[in-house]
Formats: sequence, structure tokens, C-alpha cells
Amino acid sequence: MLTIDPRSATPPFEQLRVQLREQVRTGELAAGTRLPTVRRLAEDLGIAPNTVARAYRELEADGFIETRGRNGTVVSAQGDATEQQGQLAARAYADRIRQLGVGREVALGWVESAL
Amino acid sequence: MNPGVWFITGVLVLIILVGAVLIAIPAFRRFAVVQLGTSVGLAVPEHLEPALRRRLVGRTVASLIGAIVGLAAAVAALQTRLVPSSESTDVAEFWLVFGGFFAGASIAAAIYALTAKPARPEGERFARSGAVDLRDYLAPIDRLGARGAVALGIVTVLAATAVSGVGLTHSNAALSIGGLIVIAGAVGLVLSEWASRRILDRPQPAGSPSELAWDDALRAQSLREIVTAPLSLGSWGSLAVLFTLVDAADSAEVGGVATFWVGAVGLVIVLIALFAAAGISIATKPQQHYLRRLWPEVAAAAKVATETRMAALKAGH
Repeated sequence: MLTIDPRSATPPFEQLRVQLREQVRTGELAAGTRLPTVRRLAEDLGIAPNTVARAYRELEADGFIETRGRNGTVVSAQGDATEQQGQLAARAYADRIRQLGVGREVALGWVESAL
Repeated sequence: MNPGVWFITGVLVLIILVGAVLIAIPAFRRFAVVQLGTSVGLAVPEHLEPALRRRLVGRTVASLIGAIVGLAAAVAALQTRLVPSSESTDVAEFWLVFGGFFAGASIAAAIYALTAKPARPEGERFARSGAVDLRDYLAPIDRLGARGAVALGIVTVLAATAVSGVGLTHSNAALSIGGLIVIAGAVGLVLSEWASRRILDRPQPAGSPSELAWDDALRAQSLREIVTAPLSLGSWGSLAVLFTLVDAADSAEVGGVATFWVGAVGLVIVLIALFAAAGISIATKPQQHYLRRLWPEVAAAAKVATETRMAALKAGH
């Protein structure tokens, strides 16, 4: 979840950048997750599209997200090569589980058993 | 139109009138919001209740107007003989009337969802950090069911044309009301896919997470109403074509038995498919699909609360 407080002394672009960065760092936004379009997020948060675009640009420069043409902006895998591969595999597993409609607890149980 | 079709038309008009009267009663509106909350798995926060009531009333009124317009269009088409009507298509007329009713309601729901102006909350704003798509709002049974129903309709039209092509019937059952309903279903499917994407593109300004969750719930409900049009038209078109085919078998001089079996077996398969789909739909609670996809923690809490309530009830007995 993202939140923007217009009364805050912190500029909206910085509020957005910090929250997205923390969500990527903590894994709340997993590698491969697609972010909303600049226009859509700007409309939802009631801020200018340029503000969102600037936050996305800085996060991309810092390696947190990447732009993939028609696929939009997605979260980059973090850490070394091993960690990145693990995160991408986890994303693929989570997507498949969602497609199958399997519950979270059951899916986590399978991972535990497999490990 | 035969008396039976007039009777069904009267019942549908009565349903619309009862709906219009109920939605005009303030106490019923409040009750409807609470019922909606139970259905979609969300509590109704006091500060959101008036806005939710307004949206519910707006959407219901739009759907009722759409239903009456669709019904009137279907009756007018039958009365003015814009569509072929004969004794052998009596059953198909029922499906056209039903189709007009549901398609009208779906189109109106889509127009309302695409044109209603979202409230712009003051102060803090909340938004989801991940992108969403149609799979987050529509359960597979709804999303794929609409496509499947239209595909089924097209298959029955092709089967009827093939039966006619090899000379088993004098006339093509697809060139009847049933064929027209299937075509309307195919057009409806294209329009519903377009409208669904347009709805997903609309902004969701929210002043709290619960406001966002409720917007998701209403959005999911609108999308489900929209896919009802191709779903119902495709299903009923198939049934109408097959009924016409079975009817044509009676009057066929050659190949009557073969035509009857093609139609009867087709009818049984379509009816089994429809009942199976209805069973899956009831069992999987598609109205809460969005909750499981977008708000898994809320869905999990609701599940625990339900299980606790059920356990307490069992213990009480």
C-alpha cells in the first residue's frame, strides 16, 4: 500500500520514492511485480504524473525497478546473482499458485516440504 | 408472441418494478448495503456508508433502466417481426426475452461504471503499489465462462448449419432467434472485454485502505454484471438453437431421428455444462474472488471468523 500525505513537509515525490524503495527492500514488492502506470498512480494519489515519473526514474537509477517497454515498470531482483535467481523463481511460483487458486498456507506448506 | 412469452415478460417487468420500489425505500437501501458487505466479505465502516449507499442506488437504478429497455427492445423485435417468429420458434422467444433483460442490465451497469465520477477525498491518499488486471477481479468461472458460453453458442450454430447442410432438415435452425442471440452474445463478448479494460483503467482515489477495498468490491461486482451479458446470451442462444433443431426434427421428412438425436444430445451436454458451471460458481464464491487476490489478509480473517462462528454453532447444538 502507498500513501501520500499532501500536508507533510516531505515532498510527494520523496514520500513515494521512499515507500516504494522500502517495499522492494523488505520483499513486500517481490521481484517481477508490475507497478501501476505513471498516469494511473498519479490519478490514484492525486499528484502530478511528473512526480510519479521522477520517483520511478530515481528508483530505476538506483536499481530497484526497471522499465520493460510494453510490459511496463517491474520490480528488479535485488542482491547477488543467486539471490536474484531465487527471487525470480519465487515470483514465478507465486504467480502459478495464484493462477491455480491455491491458498497461501497450503502453498507455503508445499515450499517448506520441498525445502 | 405466444401467451407464455407474454407471461414471462410480465414476470420480468414485475421484478423490475419490485426492485424500483424497494430501492426507493431508505431502510431497504441501508439493508442492501449491509447485505452487499456480507456478500463481498467486507465490513461497512460508518463513514463510508452514505457514499456506498449512493453508489449502490446509482448502479441499481441504472441496471433496472437497462433491464426494462432491453426487455422492451426484445418484445418490440418480436412484435414487429424484426426477428423470425413462428410456432417452431416459440421456445426460442423465451430466451430472446431473457437475453434482452440481462443484456440491457449489463450494458447499463457498464455505462454507469464507466461514467460515474469517483469521489476525490481530501487529505491523505492511498493506492496499491502493484498493478492489477482482470484476473484480480473476475474468477475464472466468470472470465472464462463468458468466452466458453459464446464458443458453445458458435459450436451449436455450426452444428445446426452442418445438419441442415447435409439435408437432414429443411431449414437451418441457426437462422432463427437462437442464431441471433448467439451473434448478440459474440458482439456482447467483444464489448464486455473492451468495457472491462476501460473500467480497470479508471482511477481509484481512496482516502483509506477500506475505501480502496470497497472500490475493488464494487468494481468486481460491475465487471461480473458486465460479463453476464455474453454469458447468458451465449448459453441461451445455444439452448434456443438446439430447441429449434429438436423441433425441426418433428417435421423433417428425412433424417428426423438423426436430427432429433443431434439436438437432444446437444441439449443434454449444454444443460449439464450449465448446471456444472452454476455449481462451481456457488461453491467457489466468485463474488469474493477479488478479496482473495487483492486483500488476502482480509479474506483470511473473514475465513477464520466464519469458521469460528460455524464451530460455535456446532458446539451450541
